[in-house]
Amino acid sequence: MRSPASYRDPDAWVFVRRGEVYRQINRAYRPHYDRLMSSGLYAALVEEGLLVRHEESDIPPESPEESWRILKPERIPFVSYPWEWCFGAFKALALALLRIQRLALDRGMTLKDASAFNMQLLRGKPVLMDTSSFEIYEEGTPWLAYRQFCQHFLAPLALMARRDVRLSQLTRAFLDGVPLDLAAGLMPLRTWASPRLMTHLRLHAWFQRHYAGEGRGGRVRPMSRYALLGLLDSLRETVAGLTWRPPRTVWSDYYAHTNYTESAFARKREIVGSYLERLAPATVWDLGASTGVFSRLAAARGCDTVAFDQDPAAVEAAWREASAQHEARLLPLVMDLTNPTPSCGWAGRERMSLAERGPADTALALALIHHLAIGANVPLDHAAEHLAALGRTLIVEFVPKEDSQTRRLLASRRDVFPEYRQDAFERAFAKHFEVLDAQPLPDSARRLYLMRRRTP
Amino acid sequence: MRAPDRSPAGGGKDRPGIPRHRPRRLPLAGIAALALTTLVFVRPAAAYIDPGTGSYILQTVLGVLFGLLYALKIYWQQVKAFVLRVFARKPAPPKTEG
Repeated sequence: MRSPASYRDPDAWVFVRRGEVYRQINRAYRPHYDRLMSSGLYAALVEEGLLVRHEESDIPPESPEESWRILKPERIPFVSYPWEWCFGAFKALALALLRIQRLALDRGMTLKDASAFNMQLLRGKPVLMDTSSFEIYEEGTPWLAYRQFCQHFLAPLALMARRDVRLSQLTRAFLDGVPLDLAAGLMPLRTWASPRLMTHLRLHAWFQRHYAGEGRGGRVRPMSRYALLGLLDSLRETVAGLTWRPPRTVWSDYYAHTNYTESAFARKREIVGSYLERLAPATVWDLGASTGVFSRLAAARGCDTVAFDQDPAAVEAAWREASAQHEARLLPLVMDLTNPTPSCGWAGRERMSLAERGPADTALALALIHHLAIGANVPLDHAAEHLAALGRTLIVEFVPKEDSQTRRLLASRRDVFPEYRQDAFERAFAKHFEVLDAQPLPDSARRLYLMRRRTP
Repeated sequence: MRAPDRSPAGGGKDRPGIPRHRPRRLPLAGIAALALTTLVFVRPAAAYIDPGTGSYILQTVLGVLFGLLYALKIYWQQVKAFVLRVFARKPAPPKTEG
């Protein structure tokens, strides 16, 4: 079946057969594919880990009349989207794309698109997953993907760095990239002092507005290869110059101000570790992971682990730590579990919802339930049902009302949660899960459970 | 090869038979770069995504400036490397290992 996200480019497209992902290269793309492979560009990119590795496959194509080759690319354990990336990851992906374009130009090729959806995080590193993004470079041609790069990468990154990091969520509303006039309008006044941002955002937006609706006519001024290298270098320096330092938000210093005693924390690690040992999952989703302390237990065991948190600062901290420690199995992402990524794009099917990308073998929901049940008023039964959609097995912590963290959530509001008790929690979860084990945490009234969902 | 379609946003700007008015107002930086730009014209390349007319023209207009700045940067790096090499010529004291 052809992938619902793969319909734009007539040169090649992606299809899924028996759960495996393939890329069909069409005849029209043959010279470009041949150049990619013969010029040494493919080898150079794969060597640097910038392009997904593929093998040529001999399975029958989806549409034989136009097919030239079938590629079987390396599997990407978790496909993520721009609004799920923290600032550091987003920036690394942008720089990687510019590096790819630079290497391509060195070998007589160019990127014909610069969609953020083509970039993914694999083994903790940015990688281009679209093997058919390259075409033979014709001297004199500007970068046809310049507009797309600015909308998909530069505009959101500049807004995150210079205005507010939460503006990454604009990428979810504008799937074809943040419109440059919008980005320019939202940028603070001090960008006027930044010539590069002025050029690539404000002046660029002005040019777009000025030439809106006009074709380029028969002939245009050429752009030399050297000018193109200059443009790329300018973009690289613009992106590299954008920085964001996480402020100390409520949850990023959570572990420093937690109500756990050291022994309770050590015991919690021990129990979670033993549950992971027992389940031996291949994939783990840590829901409400904060800076990823417990995600790391799973990643260190070789599980492909995604650490979700809604706080961009906590995710940034997790990302920086993962990069510094080369934690290839850990992928920290921004996700609000009360409003997870829906399926969206063309026909509402182009980009996958969170649940569609699962379920994970194991979901971790540690110190999460009180946020859902009390912080977001989600009934326990609904929470259990949704968690059963996200993980085949579940390691969940019940945080009772008398816990200081729960009291904090109730401090400024009426307690409308008479049902929020351990027995009610167990009843609600028993409808969707079979409880395999339960352990109390010392020095607190919290409890950890190991569960398996009833539907396989 | 086909040029990308006009974007629907401003598609009604020109009418058949009437020569299109090409606005000549350009910002200062654009004029400076324009003066340096070569006057040779080529056929535009076609792309499966719309490169955007404004985005395309901005690159060609500022291309010379980008190229110039890049050349200066490379040149400066070479000068810096040369100076560093000259000063590094003094034999370094033998390293002692503790």
